[in-house]
Amino acid sequence: MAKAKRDALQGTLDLLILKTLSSGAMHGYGIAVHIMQVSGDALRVEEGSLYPALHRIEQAGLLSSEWRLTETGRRAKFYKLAAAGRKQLEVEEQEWVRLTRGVARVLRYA
Amino acid sequence: MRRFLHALRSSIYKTRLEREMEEEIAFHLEMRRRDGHTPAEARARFGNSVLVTEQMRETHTLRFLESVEQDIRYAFRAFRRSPVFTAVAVVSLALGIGANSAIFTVTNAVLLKMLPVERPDALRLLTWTSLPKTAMSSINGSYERKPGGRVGSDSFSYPVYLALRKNPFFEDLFAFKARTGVTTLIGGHSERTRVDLVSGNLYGALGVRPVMGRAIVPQDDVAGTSSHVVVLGYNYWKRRFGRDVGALNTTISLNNEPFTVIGVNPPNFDGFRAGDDVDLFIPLVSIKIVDPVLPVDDANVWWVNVMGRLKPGVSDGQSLAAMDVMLRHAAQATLSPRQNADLPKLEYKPGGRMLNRDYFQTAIYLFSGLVGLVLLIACANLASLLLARATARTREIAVRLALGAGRWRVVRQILTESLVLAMMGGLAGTAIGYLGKDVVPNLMGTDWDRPGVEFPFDFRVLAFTLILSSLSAVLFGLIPALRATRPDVGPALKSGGRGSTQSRSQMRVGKLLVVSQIALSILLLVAAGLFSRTLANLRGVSLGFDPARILLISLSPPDALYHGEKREQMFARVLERLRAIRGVQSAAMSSDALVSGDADTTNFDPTGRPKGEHEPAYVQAVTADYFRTMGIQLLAGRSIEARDSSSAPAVAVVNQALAKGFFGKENPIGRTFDSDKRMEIVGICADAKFAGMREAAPPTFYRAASQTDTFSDRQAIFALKTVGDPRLTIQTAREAIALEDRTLVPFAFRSQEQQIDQNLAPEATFATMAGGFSGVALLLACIGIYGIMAYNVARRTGEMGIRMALGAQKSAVLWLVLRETLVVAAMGVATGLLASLVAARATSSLLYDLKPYDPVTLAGAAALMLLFAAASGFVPARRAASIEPSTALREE
Repeated sequence: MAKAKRDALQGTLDLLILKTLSSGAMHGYGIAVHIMQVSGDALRVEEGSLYPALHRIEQAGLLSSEWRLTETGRRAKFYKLAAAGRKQLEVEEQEWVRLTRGVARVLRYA
Repeated sequence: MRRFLHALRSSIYKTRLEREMEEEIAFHLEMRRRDGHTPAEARARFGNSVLVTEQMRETHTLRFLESVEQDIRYAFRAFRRSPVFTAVAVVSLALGIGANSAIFTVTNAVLLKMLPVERPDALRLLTWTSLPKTAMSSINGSYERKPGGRVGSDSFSYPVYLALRKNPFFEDLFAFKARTGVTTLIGGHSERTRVDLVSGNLYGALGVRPVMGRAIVPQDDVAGTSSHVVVLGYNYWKRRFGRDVGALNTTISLNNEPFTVIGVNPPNFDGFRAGDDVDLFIPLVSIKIVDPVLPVDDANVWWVNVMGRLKPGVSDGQSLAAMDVMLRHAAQATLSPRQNADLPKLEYKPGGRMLNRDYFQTAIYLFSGLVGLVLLIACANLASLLLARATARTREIAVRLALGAGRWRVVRQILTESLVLAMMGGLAGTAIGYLGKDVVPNLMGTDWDRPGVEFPFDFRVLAFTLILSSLSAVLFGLIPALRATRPDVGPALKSGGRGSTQSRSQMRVGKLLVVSQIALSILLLVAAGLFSRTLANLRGVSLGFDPARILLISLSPPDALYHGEKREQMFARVLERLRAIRGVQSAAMSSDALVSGDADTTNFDPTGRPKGEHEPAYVQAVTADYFRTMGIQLLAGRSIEARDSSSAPAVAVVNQALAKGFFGKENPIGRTFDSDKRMEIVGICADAKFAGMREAAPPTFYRAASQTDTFSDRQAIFALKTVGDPRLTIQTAREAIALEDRTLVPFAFRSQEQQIDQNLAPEATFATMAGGFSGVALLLACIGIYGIMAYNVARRTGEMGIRMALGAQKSAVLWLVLRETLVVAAMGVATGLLASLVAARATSSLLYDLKPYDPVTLAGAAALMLLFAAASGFVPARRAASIEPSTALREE
């Protein structure tokens, strides 16, 4: 599984998606709404860019997907965290914590 | 698996994926609207949906391509790590695939190729069969005995052809006839050419259009025409005219008659037989120039091939029945009546196919079978090699599976490796196939002066090779891949792949593969043994003459230049010139070369007995010195001598077979008999083979060349007994004949031994090919045995160590491993022998003086296989015996 170089934003979006899905399967719209609500509208990404990311992460084997009916009886594509995705989330979460801690330290003591 | 299909779908079936992507986006926008946004707002928040779709699409395609590339790169890296394995795999595959591709070239050119004309599948070649006592007593063309006692031919008389043309079923019937050795003179240079004579309507009916000039039309094919026309074969135009457009309307000479070049054939139409490459096409009416001796006007002589295209909607069955009636009527009306003679029964053969496919068919089927076996063995070999490799990588694979890699992803990785191997083998195999494609036709070829038969290596052969390579990749790659990735990865992780249940069952599959490999090798060994022994039997038969140091030369000048006495005198002078060459001990002329497949028969009626009481006898017209030159022993009386001139009393020498068959215990010397004239028997000679090696020497009489008119219109064969290598005399002989007449084209210079080799070419081809293939098979089987036993020893190092620690002798351990090898080998040999008992029966018609279940061959194959098996099992066995108990146990 080749890890291409990713820019920070993309990496962040992947992390947000993985984290969002760690609580259960969701469709794309649900993910977008969840990220916005939980972040208190601080993180407002262009909603469209979510989908290529979802497909890419799925291709990497971190997610799986299936078409299901929503509570309103509408057909939608639901994404779910795969085993490899869960591991990846752990790694990225730690990485993120390390990174932000580092950044915070620099801000505090510089 | 699902993911793979998903990716595949994205590359091939874009639409479905696209629809899903659109639906996904539509759903998003709709949800946004439900949450109280206007469509415009929703779109603004979403961004450029076209761009998004594009990006989504990219992730799919790229991802798939990326992973394929990655798999391939990974495969190459793995190969670099184990170069020996890779080399063995590629070489064995290349041999297997190359052999198949070479044989398929022949299949393609002979069995599959259709005439390059419109609707070739509607063409029917007319043929007939009858009881052996047939009404068609004089046939010039193919004549064969069919299974079931009937005889058959594809030749018709010209009047019968004309009668059959008046039928309502065929668009038109057309006729043709192939002739070789037509002397063609272009710009002062003579050569012998192949000519197809065609009826005037043939080009029109087939729909063949010349690349240049015009085709032969019905007006060219009328009796009494004074201007002869010729259409050049494309290759002939290329060879003799350098593709010069100026060739059109020039005049060339065929058998000393002027012919005007009116056109050039398209490159793909070169006659009705595979590998024939006909030089010239001329109207059927010119047959008298090309073959003045053939009595084409005689309705009793059946010589012309007839073909036609069925009208649309006409079935074979209904037309055949009516055509058959027409044929019987026509035959009855035109043939001289013979008592109790059977009339012909019409049969159709596919006309769009190559007419000489029968000659190659047996060989093709046989070789296809043999090369198929070789490839199977190569695949089995690779399967067991890959299995062993996969086992060695069990830990790695188990880790990958445990880390969440999809099973299919790992299977795909292993399959990619197989596919890359197969493609490398296929590439090398294509090269081998290309080099070997003309081996079979040339081994089996029949023309001395044109050995260069070339079959096209076209896209069909390439496609075949590609398919074969991919198939074999799946064949040898799938089982190891599936087994290595079986879901129960637990034990493999725990044990590291040694001594576990999985590796033991892996071992079982491996052994099964080796057993089947050995069994297949036995089949090939038995085939090789049977054919070599057949060849040896044929080579060992007593010839009745001495073929050593004899040069044979054929001479057959155009009848228009040399006819009758003029021809006979020229032959006599040429013989004198040849006799005078230094290093020629003796020289003689005869009507046929021995063991050339040619032989003449004639009636032989001892004086005082009713005519026609006996079957015909074989006849050979010879000059003095013939018996000395050929080394045929004279048993009683005298030989043909110089004094037996045309004015002297007619004499003959008979062989033992004739003496015994016609005269029993009586002494034939002094007796007379009638053939074309009355002759007196003056000597008895030993039996010598005549037409071929397989048949016993037939009842034969030899008569004086000057006392027959045979040489007034036919070929002469000169035989020179030389002091040294006969082929060193070829150039001098050629010059000596040129001194007689520069335009003479002597042909087929060959030693008598080459002539015999030629006659045995099919048998030698079978023996050589089967021998070569079985050698390859043996090698592959040895690699297989070595591989599985080496793996087995490595797997059981611990066990061996314990045995040794407990006091087992080195020899006991050695024997333990060797015994296991031999058990596997014995199982394979037994299976193979059983299979060959069934399979060899198919070859019985190809054998000589040998039963298909020849015990010597079977025992030999078994012994050879066991010997090689033991040898290849010995190396791992010795390694097992040299295990240090302490090291082994520490490893455990």
